[in-house]
Amino acid sequence: MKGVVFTEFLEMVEDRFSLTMVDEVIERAALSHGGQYTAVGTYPPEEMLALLSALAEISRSPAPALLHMFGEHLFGRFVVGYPAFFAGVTDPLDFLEKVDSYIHVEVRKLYPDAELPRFDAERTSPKELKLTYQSPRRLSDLAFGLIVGCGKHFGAPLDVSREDLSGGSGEIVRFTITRP
Amino acid sequence: MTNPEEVYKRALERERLARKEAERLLEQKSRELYDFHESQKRELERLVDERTRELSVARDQAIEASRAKSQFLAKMSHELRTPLNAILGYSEMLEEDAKDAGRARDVDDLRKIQVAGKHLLSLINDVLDLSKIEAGQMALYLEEVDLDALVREVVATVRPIVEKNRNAFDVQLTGELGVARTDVTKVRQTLFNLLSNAAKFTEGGTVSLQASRDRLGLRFSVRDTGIGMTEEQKAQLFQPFRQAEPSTARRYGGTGLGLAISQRFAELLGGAIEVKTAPGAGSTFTLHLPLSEAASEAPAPQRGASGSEAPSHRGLVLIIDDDEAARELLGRILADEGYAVAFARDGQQGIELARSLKPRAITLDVVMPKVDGWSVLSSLKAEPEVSAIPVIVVSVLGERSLAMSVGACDYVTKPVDRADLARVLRTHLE
Ligand code: HEM
Repeated sequence: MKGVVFTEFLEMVEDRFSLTMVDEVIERAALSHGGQYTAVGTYPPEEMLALLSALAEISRSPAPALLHMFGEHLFGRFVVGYPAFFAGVTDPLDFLEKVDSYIHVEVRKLYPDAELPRFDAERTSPKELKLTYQSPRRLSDLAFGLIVGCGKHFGAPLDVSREDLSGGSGEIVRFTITRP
Repeated sequence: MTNPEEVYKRALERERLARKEAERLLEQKSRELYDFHESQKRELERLVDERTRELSVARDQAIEASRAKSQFLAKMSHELRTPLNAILGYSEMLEEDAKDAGRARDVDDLRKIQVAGKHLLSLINDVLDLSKIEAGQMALYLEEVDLDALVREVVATVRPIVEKNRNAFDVQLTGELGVARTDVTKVRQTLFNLLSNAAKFTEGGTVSLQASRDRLGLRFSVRDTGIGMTEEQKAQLFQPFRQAEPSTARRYGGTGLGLAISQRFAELLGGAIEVKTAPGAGSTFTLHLPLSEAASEAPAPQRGASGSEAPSHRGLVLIIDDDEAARELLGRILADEGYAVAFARDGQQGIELARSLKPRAITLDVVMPKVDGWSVLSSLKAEPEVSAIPVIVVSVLGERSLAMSVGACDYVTKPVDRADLARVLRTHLE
């Protein structure tokens, strides 16, 4: 997993909680190193899960909610870090529709070792998009947060419902997204 | 455990290590990029090299093909002239006979044969000239030329042609033209072409020739009051085999090569032909020839560099070649270099002359009928009397190593490069 996910996660922890919380989360996650993540590095995805459960335990919050929160935070960071992807786009559904066919394609060019999910997009109407997430990393809560963050960024609060298509494993999740 | 100072210390330590890790990764990426860039560069250079090689091979092939074509044309023209001379000669004789016997119709028919034959001959001569020019084998013979006499001569030759179309012929010479160092044959032919061209395309008008000489050189202006040309026709004027219209050739005759040849002659002499024309308004062709430049820039081979006449302070070289043009060319180069030359038309004669003349060196063609160059070489090397004479193989075939292995002292490819041959001779004779 790309280092940017880790650095952004820890920054969010510092913002929303405190530097002490960052310290404790790292301590508790019992990593094989001291938690010195750099955005340009690549780290095992399990470390992300370890950090997340550590945060959940210490903050006594459910992990899915934290992941969702992280998704929203991360989207804001993408807006700052990758303005090119936003050029000329005004509709959040238009943006989300292209995540798989364009954005993650470009992301892979930038970082050939990125581990990206698969999204199948189906634009059922101008106001509705069905986005099916598929990934062995089961981070649909992160996707959820990113989607909500996207709506917020475009100033169009989205109505998102989700449905697990993989018998509760979280590997395949369909989001039905509508905008006002 | 949550001592703030400790927390900050650890945070700081993480930042420091993260920075180091980032720097390491950055360095690694930079190197990868650098290597990638280098390998791309090498690949690109390799491709460029490869293309360059391919292009140069293609270019060499094209040059070789064009050379072969010119040589073929030159040879063919040569071969065509021999039977044509017989046709012309015998029809002339028959015409005399017919005239004596009072057979008017036969005289008429035989004259037609001669006219057609002469036309064919001029066509062949033109093709030969052009192919020589294009093969870069048209040599210049520079000598002191009495220009006034030359103009008088051309005017006399061309007058009947001009007057045939009921044209007035107006010749204006501004002062004396004097003497110039130039190639008389080429100037004569060019003037003749320009004048007969003007005559052909003008009927019941005036053809005029103005000649002058000044600081810049010689100017010969040929003006006619004939049909003139459009811009388009003018643009094609100096292209071989082009006349204003295909029907023009039938109506006016001519090979269509005259102007192309004249133009190239003018260029060879360092000059140019300039045209002013408009449809219905006649045309003016002006031949410019520089004076001193032509003489100093052009190579100055001597006329008829044959055997005994040439200065022989460097000794005698025997040229064995079945091709007359090649013999002549080699002869001229060698004469220029100060050698006396002797010629042999075939292998047999070559061996005999080598024996009787004992030349200082021999240039030997390979492809010859009956006794080829290799046989000549082995005969020469087998005779103690002549075996020590250095033999330079001169051939279109790239068989240097074969030549050297059977006893040649050096090898020069045809068409012969003057400097190359001179250098080879110097190496082996001095
Ligand atoms: C400018 C926009 C975006 C950029 C630059 C971007 C970039 C990335 C990057 C760099 C990763 C990490 C890959 C790795 O760790 O190897 C990632 C993962 C991910 N992205 Fe995006 N992304 C964008 C938008 C989105 C959006 C809008 C969604 C949701 C619809 C999304 C869903 C995900 C998910 C769920 C992952 C986690 C990996 C997984 O689940 O397998 N991304 N993205």
